[in-house]
Amino acid sequence: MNLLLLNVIVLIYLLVTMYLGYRGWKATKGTEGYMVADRKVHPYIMAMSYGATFISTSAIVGFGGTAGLYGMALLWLTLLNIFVGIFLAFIVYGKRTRKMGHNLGAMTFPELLARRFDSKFVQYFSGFVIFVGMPMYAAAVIIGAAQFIKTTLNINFDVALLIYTVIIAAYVIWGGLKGVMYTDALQGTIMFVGMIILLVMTYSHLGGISAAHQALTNMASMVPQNLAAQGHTGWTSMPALGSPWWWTLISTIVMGVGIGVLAMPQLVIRFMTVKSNREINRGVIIGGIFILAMTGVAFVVGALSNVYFLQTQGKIAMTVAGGNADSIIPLYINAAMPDWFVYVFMLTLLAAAMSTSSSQFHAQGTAMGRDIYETLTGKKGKGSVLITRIGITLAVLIAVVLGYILPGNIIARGTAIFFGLCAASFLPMYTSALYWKRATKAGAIAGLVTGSLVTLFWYLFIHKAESTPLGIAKMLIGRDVLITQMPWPVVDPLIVAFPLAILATIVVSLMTKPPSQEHLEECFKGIK
Amino acid sequence: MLRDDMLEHVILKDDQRKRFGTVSIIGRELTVLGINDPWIWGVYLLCILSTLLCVIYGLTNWNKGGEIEEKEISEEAAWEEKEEEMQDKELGV
Repeated sequence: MNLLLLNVIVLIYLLVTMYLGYRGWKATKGTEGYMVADRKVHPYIMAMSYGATFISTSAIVGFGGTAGLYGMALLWLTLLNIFVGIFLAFIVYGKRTRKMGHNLGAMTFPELLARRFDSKFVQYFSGFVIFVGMPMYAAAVIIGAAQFIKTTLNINFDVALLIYTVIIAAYVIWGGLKGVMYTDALQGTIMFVGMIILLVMTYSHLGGISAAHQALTNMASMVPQNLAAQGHTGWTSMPALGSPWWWTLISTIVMGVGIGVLAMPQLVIRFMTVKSNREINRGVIIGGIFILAMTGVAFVVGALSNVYFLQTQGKIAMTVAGGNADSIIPLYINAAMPDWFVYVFMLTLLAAAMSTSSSQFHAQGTAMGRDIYETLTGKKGKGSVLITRIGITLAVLIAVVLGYILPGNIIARGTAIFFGLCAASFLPMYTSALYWKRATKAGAIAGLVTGSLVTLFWYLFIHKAESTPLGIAKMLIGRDVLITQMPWPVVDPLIVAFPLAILATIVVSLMTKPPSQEHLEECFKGIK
Repeated sequence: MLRDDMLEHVILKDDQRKRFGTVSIIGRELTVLGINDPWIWGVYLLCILSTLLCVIYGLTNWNKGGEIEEKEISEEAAWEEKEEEMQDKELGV
């Protein structure tokens, strides 16, 4: 470890971040200035800030490490990230969300849905789902950051987690929510450049694109027996169709995260602050390239780390990482890249984690304060501010405790759980809010409740990876899962809960009275 | 390059394939960018193509969608004011 170099890089980074934070804060001060500054926000800044919130340590460290384990089949997730997470999210969902959010004056995602369907229940139930579901995702981000600190500074994981928690607590208390657009864009830019360097260095180190892939293809025979028995067929081939490995990869990781992104509360809100469809159109370019450079590179490099570790240590990545996929990327970058790059990369990852963490904690705080407390009691003002603060504090505490107790290999799974929950609970309601005028309040509620309850039931009683450690099924029915026949114990809740939620939304809507024409006109004003 | 002791795994894997019913769609001879499985080199190329789609869409619609901006300015001024007020209250700034 080169302490002098590390200090110089940290100092430069902090100075630039503080300067940009100050500029952003100054530019957004006062309503008039706030509006003008916002209107002038360059599409580059908008898309980068969306990207930096979307992609965090979880995507690079967690899913990159998962690619070290599963191989390049994870690129299916990148395809969905680009096509669904950017193209569809911006064009099909973003434009209407922007306009409808504007028509209804909504400030949070649950609020948008609640006002569209004229239902308080939608708001507090959605708030509840966010508050209960998000800690897993928040913990996943924290663990990702701590893993990188641990490997780079060569310290104990618990200490690394503590350091990160202190930094993040200070950041949230300092009020890291105002004027973060510029710092987000800086983080995004450094991440982008960093990932490109990482890709180029990896390919050139391994002798070029085809040679590197070929070397990885040739390693297929080195798949450990226990993984082969699960359906692992190598790092450049799909898992055996219908095997447990295939189901986890496709139903949990690719579909869950790939589709769930459409209904992520903290991402949807970005569209509500965009000023016109033109910014969205332009943002698509930067967003698409950014995601390819982030997840595309992370998954290719994660898979190729196997070749690097084979050549340098004679082992596959999973063996080098001691069986914990979460530490593959930190280990690879520390081993293969020069010191300066490792430090810059660590800082960027931490900064990205911080912007994601703080928006997660804020989303949980407002879910508790505004969406649950205010809606249920009808009280506003001091009480709800206090509840929001208590909510944020609780959210930080829960995430940190989870960070300590959760096992290894959890980053990708923890993220996928929350994304899948959002897809099943919110996506049918959100899609019909934007596109189906016949959808009713009762239909929206039916979809929301079905999606979230089926997901919960599936995790507790059917999906083995969660039901076994949770132990509730064992306690009630005497075994780990309700249905033991394959493939059910490895089928993700999303595959069942999402279609059921769509069905519930449609059937109940058609059975109930359509919403009033005036209300629809207000919601769809200016939407063709 | 296949060592003898690795053969065992390959055979095991083929058994595995049969058990899970994998069907090879395209002949194994076709290798693109050092990858044999068409599902993998296919998605590798699709990722790049979908990024190109984003770029082309953005470029062809570069100036579209800004027309109603003027009309929304006055509405938005009131909206932003309310939002900032609420955010201030929430953060206690």
